[in-house]
Amino acid sequence: MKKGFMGIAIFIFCLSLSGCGKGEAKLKEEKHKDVYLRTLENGHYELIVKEKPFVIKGICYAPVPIGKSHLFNFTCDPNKPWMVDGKLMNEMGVNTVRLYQPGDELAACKEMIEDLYKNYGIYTVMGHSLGFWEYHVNELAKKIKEIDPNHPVSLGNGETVGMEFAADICPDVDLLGCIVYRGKVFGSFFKEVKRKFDKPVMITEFGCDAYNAFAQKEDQLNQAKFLKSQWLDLEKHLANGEGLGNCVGGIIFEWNDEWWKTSDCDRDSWLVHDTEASWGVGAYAFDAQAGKNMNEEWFGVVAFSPELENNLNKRMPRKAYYELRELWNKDFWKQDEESSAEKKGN
Amino acid sequence: MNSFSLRLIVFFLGVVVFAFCFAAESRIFAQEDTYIQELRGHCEGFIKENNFTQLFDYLDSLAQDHVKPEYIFYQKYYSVKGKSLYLDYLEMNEDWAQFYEQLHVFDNQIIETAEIYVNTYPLNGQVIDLQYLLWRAYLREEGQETTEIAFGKLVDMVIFYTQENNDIAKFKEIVELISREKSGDFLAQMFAEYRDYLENEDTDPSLISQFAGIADSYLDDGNSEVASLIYNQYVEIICKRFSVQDAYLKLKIIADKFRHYGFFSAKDPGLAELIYEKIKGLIGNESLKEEDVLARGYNFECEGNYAKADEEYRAFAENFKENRFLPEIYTRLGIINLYYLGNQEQSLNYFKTVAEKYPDSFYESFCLYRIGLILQWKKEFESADEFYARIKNDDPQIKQLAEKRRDEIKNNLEIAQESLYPLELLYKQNKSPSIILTLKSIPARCLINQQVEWIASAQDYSVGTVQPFFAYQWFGDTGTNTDIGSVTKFTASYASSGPKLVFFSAGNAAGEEVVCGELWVYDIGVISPAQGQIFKVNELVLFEAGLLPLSPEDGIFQWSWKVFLEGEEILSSHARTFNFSFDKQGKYTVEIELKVEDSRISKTIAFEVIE
Repeated sequence: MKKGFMGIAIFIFCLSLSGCGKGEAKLKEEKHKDVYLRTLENGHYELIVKEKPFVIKGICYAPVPIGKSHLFNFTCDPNKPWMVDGKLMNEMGVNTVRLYQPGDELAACKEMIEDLYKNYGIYTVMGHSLGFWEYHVNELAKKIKEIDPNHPVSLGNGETVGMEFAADICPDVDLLGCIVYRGKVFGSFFKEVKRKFDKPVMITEFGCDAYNAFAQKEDQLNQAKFLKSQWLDLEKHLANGEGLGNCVGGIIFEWNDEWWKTSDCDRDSWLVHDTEASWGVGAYAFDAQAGKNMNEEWFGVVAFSPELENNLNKRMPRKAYYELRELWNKDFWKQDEESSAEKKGN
Repeated sequence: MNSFSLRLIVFFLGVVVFAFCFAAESRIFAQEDTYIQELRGHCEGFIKENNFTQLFDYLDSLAQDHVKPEYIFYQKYYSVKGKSLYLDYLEMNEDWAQFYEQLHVFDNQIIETAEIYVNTYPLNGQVIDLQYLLWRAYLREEGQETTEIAFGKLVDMVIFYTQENNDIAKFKEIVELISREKSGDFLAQMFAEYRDYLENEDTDPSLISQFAGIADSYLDDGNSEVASLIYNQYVEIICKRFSVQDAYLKLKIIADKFRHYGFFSAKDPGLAELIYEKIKGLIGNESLKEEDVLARGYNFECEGNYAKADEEYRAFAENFKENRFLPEIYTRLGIINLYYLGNQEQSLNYFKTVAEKYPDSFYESFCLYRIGLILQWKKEFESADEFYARIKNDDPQIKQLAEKRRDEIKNNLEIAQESLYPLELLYKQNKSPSIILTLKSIPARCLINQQVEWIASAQDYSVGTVQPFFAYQWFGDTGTNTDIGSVTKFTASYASSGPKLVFFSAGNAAGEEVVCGELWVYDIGVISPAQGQIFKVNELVLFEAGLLPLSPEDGIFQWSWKVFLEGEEILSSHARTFNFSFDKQGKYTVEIELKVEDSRISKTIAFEVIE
């Protein structure tokens, strides 16, 4: 979880789709729009993109290199990490990345978003922390829609804390985005959302770290197991699934490990893959005995190596990457087999 | 040439022809063995070296046409086995790129090949292996129905094979393979079906004890999960195939392996409880021995099932009215009722039972203090003071607390917050239903001066992962750690024996909740010889020690005695009690050591032998 987003911080972001046409986004079926939310006859919700149901298979993206901190503006990185990551993401079946903020160089950020979409078909969810402005959520939602009526506006929240109040005072918010870390499954989360804030929800952060705080070693197996279990549970609550149908997808935290997270002030520590955990969740049972077991520097489905490849930290996909690929890009192995067969034939 | 000679020639010719044919067939038979032996040798060699590329190349190089079916079988067997092991190898080495590249391709090939042979080839050990590998391929491919069908077939094959050969070796091998998968559900299914087979009256009883032997070997290797799964079935077989008395004895032995003792983690207290329930059903309440009831009660108590623990301890008090453990049991009943079941009046009765019926027991001071505290809290000051006054000096810590309380009564003061607050929180109205606190000590029972860790947690189940802020406080007997702060765990040790009660509270603006934890500390109690005791030469000296306070768990402790005369060791023993006579006068010292798991304490006593 990103620093500054602990507890009940509230923020707003838009689902930003490059190349989409204009129109108002409302919680109705409106066939002339490229992106909108639809309520089905059974009361389930769907996100529609270019006239097709779209399930958000997303991943939080911040490719901060080893030795740098969150202040590093990766959108300006001349090595264009998103071109390397985009390919891997595409193979994995990722269709959305989440950026926590655009950074200072808006043009560079826009270029990155365009590159991801044009080369890999990946959309972007753009967010920003409100801070003081959390008291004016609905006003901001309305303002965003004045500027950009083409896309749904989402309220980002930590868990479902305060949702019953938000339901009354934020009628112009189209969907809910929640950060949820409840272990292998989401438990009563979707039911709580339905009860407290009956609008579509996307889980804007969920995941599992790859470090076993109890055994004190990397644990790719449990990370993969947990992510798979979380996704399968989320899937049940998509439209026409066996659950409540109020989920439009989820965004995994996160694409890569971030080595700066233990101490954003200590430069030396950015070069070390720290194993300290600053908070704990008992539901991550495999290392709950350690007490604090959420190892912030180890949440990546892709590990970074200090070894460089094309001036970027070498990407080392973990087991979780492949397990998610099995879920999100089911036929990838067939493509792989066909291309191997073709190569053999040649 | 006469007819006899002709017949003789024909006979000898026949012998020669027969011998020739026999030799030829023997050569063919030897060649078959050689082929399979060579194939096995090569393949197992490649597998041992994890040289899968060479294995596959080797198998590809073998002739497929005009070859005997059994040769083809072994080729296919090693092809399937090799692919499965190669996937295992990639997984073990976390070579995910290669693993996932090969996974579906190999699994499809394994399934295609194995399905043919398991359905057509006569059952042997290799066919069972193929069925196992087939099941694993289906498991990886996550086809639920096919996986279940394949596993069912595997179990049937293994049981049939065991039956036909009257040998459990293959069963054991497959169990070991499945246990490495950590597929507890599948193992449980397999053991359940094997149980059905063993319960049959016609089944050789030696297979039953071999089945238990497998469980024991897993337990010895530290794999209590698999052992527990086997014993879950074994206990059912015991009840059906053995006499009541034999079954009871066997069940006790197993329960003892898994129950709570407090000094170390229990292996499977749920299984132990299941067995206690079976014992009760087998021999009836009236025939239960003291150790059965105590073990079950303590098992419940450690699991936090205080209502059931209360039931067991009350049954003990009812059925064993002269038992030496009654002071402890009534003390436990007092603690459980006061601090866990919210039954203040009942707890008072139990503490009073100890004070009145067992006035010189180890627990007297502890109980007197609790009686005084409850009465003082109820503002029955005079009665409270009377009970505080009865506390002897044998427990300085309790005596000191009692004196504080007496001062409060004398000076019309409220009970000190640190003593009263936990009780007030435990008995307050409007407790929060969603805040759950847990508190335990590791271990739950320890020796004096042994490091103990107290671990607590607080969670508000109504708000999901984003937990509210909590401030933590600790009360009660925290041992050597007196300055704990707002943390959820700490370590301490205790210099005196007996029950220690610790309280953990978590609070915020919404309110505060508290939970009680108990730790029982034990010391060496030397019954004989007494410090400074004098004996005559050749007089029989009794050496006897025990736990202080008493504990029913004799079997888990190791005792060690060493007797010295002027610094020289002259005698040692590992018994808890023994006799010896000394033929030399002098000043002797005896070192008594008590060990349980990795913890140990010792005591030294001096005595003298004179003429």
